[in-house]
Amino acid sequence: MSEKKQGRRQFIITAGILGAAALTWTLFKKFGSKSMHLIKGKMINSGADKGHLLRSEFTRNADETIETETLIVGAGISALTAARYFSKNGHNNYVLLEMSDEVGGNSIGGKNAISAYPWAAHYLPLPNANQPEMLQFLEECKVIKGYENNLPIYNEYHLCFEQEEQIFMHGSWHKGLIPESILKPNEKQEIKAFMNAMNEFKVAIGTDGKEAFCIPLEHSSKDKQYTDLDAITMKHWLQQQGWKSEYLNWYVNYCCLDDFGIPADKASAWAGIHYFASRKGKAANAESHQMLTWPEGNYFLTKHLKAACNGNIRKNAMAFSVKATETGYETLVLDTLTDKTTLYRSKQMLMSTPQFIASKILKGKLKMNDGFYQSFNYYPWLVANLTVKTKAFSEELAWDNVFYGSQSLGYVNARHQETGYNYTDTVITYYMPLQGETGKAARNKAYEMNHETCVELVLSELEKAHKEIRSLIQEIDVKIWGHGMIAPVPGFISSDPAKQLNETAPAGIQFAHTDLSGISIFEEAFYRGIKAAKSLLDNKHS
Amino acid sequence: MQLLLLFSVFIIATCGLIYELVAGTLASYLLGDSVTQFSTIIGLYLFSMGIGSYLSKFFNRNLLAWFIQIELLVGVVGGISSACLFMIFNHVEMFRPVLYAFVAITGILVGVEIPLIMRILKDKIQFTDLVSKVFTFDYIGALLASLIFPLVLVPQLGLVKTSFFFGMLNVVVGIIICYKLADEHPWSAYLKTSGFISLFLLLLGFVFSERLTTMAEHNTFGERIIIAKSSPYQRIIVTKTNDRVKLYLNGNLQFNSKDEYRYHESLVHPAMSMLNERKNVLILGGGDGMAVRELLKYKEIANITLVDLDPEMVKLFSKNPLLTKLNKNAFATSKLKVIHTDAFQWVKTNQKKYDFICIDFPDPGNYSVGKLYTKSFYSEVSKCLSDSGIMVVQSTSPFVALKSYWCINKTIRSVGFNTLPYHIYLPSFGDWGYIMASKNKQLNFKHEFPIDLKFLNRETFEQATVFPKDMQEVETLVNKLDNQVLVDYFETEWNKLL
Repeated sequence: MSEKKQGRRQFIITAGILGAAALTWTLFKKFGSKSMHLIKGKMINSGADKGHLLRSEFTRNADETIETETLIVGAGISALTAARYFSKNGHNNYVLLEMSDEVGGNSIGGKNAISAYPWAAHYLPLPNANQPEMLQFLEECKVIKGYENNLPIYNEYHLCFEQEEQIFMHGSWHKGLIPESILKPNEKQEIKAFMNAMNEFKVAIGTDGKEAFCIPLEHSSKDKQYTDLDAITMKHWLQQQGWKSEYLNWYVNYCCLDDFGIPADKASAWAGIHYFASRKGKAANAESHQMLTWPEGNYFLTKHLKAACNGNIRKNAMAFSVKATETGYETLVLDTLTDKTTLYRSKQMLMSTPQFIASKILKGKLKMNDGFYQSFNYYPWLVANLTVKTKAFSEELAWDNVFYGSQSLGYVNARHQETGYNYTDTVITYYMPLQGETGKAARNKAYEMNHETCVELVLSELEKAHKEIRSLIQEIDVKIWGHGMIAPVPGFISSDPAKQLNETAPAGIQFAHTDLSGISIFEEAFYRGIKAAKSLLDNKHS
Repeated sequence: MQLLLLFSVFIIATCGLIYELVAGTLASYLLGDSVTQFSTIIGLYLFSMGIGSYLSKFFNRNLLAWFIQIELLVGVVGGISSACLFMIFNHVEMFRPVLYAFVAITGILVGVEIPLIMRILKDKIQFTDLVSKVFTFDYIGALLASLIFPLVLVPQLGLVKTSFFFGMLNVVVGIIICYKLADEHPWSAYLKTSGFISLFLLLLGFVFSERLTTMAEHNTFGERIIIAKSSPYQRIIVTKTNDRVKLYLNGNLQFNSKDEYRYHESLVHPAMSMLNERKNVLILGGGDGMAVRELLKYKEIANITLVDLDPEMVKLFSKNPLLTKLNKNAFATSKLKVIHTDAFQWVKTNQKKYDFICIDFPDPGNYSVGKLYTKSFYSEVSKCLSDSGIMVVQSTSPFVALKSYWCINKTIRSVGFNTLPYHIYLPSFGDWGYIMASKNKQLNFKHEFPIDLKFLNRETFEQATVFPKDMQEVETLVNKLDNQVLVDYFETEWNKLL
């Protein structure tokens, strides 16, 4: 062996010994936590595969026939509210059909060993006083404990605990969504001016004497001064006001994404302002801006609605054809578990599906023209539930944790409402409205994502704020909502799709879904459900 | 040649033992229980030397060069060991593996050295003579190390400098041997270069070690840590300076043994002296057992229930001799039932009524603890209190945190309690406040204080209920789960002080 060779070998050995510990450590840190740490979890089926059967002219012959007074198709909040209303008012001869294996629409949730968690909507603003049925329902759920001076007393365990929100901005976390202390003077000034404008809209009354921005939407004023706002985008409106600061634009964009799943340059200004100016709830023991929330999100409310109509629900029941007949309606329904087809004959119909489904299953004169259905835009969402060690978060978690400048909405902590002093594991729900040229383009892109790409998308952002999070995750479950929610693009709300439908629909059929309002919120669904149910009950008795 | 090599045995022995002592000392600072720490470290060190001796048989050629090589390695590894350990001082979960890795590596390297040197010298000295000489130097080195370590090195140089110093010593000897005995060896140039680089690095460490130590000491309260434990809920640190024992939870001082009797007497006895019925007592928090110690002064108490989240705390304060001395072995009493669960969850589900409820939580410095000071919490506690019962709440300093203090008072009153605020002087903390509360309108003395109290008597307590002008009640909001105003008050007020 030559000297040179020996010297090299010597060097290699020495370096080996010296660096062994260091190397092991770095390797462990790098690969132990990243590539080698396989993140467990699954894609949760949102029922898209079943729904896609409807894309082509799907047809089957019935194996059996069932007669019922009223048939409800769809089992979102509108449908459940209507069903509950029927049951409460002595009408039990109805059947409620749900295509997937879970009712609740955009208010569903899940549960694991650590916590219950939401899969979509996760809070309810304090409802306005003009919604007595809603308040009554909340009393039934023990969310309202009683009244004081005519104002509801909310259960303090259901009011969102402090700290409600925090924002990750310029490399660190700050309390609240509007971190005054780090905003530039012009940003502070603009956000203040914006909030003042919103407060004015909140109390504004139109020339017709109605509130300018109301829940339900159709009770809002038709005063042109306000309805004209539906012709432009929220971004356009901000420009008109001369507000250009980066922070305000981000903030308003965030709020549009949060409520509609579309950014400020796609959302109608009327809808954007409605977000801020329509919540006027009052309480004996809370401020009107406060929220009600539960570990499982609005699934908490779904469970209460469901309890009132449980016996009448049929899950895995996909209606694929609804026809009007001389005496009522005939609906063909495929049981996706047994593959059996049932023909439902009913005197009344409550169509509570979104219109993109209705357009596929309504037959004959019940179906509206194509232009009508094409005006409905839906954007997809990615929702991920991460089971994670709380060690991953160096700061105390807020309920809602938001990333400044991000396209995502951040994440909520499912265990926020626990009174417990401390816990070592939690579930966080990460929300990301997916963007694209059109809803359809975004949807096609979304359906191509697999578990791994979703996980990387979620972690690429979380890791900016929580460096160690990857190795502290036990599981990530992901759900892609293909048609996440209705998008209130300019002109859509003022086209009043609900009115268009009701003008052409025959007696005995009602439509109830938030896409007819243009804004997908619980209160609106609740209102539509009760309104449709009342009308069907009246129709039945007349 | 002989003498130089034997001298190097002496140096290796000294250095090896020094590294081991440094490791042991650091471990007992951080992990506590010095007997366990020293004995595991010595055990591991000797075992590793055994491994090293075994491994030495695989070295068949270039013995001298390998000897020098290992000498340098011992110097570097040992030299940086304490600096590395200091730097990870605050990460208990990492500390143990790194500590044992260092001990094992030095042990193995030193273990290789002694057989190597014997084999190098075996042709030069007679075997009996060789064994006797090598081991003589080895043991003399050990003696020297064990004497100068506590007497000279720790007081003069401190732990970090000591390691670097001996690391350099190792390396220098290696370099000298290289020049004297292996100058002609083919590896010579490489050995010299690596020797000088190591020396330079260790010197840098030695010079800048001052900065390192102050950093570490700053992190650790500048006091001698005798226990440091990280439970899932908090970091528990106990320090001891002379005869003063202090407990820190998450870096916040909880008591100082010098004056904690003032705090705990005032927490327990005023309420007890106003109670007719004093059979069933509930303590929320108080895992240090000090409040139990005070309660055991009453024969009529039949049951004490203590709800503390952290089993680690109770384990420490019921097992560690130093700490059980402080709480007079309070956890040994058969009257006591300890429950490890979250206090809020527990009071929500508890059905039993208590005559006295003693609430001793950490200050409301974050939202998690803040929940335990809310209206909702007190209304749950109210359901656990008998109609004639009394509750006492430790309520932070009314001097430093005036609004916080009166906010707690107002919050307790908001659920229908009648309150009696009082405060005492604690040298370690300053002016400290409590709120006593009952469902009755009147809070009157019914019993004398026990005679063996060191601080409280009737006059002292009457004084304690008087608030001077700068501590008078101020207007605040009620602390609720959905506003947690107390945490904001508390943060603002204590930050002003810092």
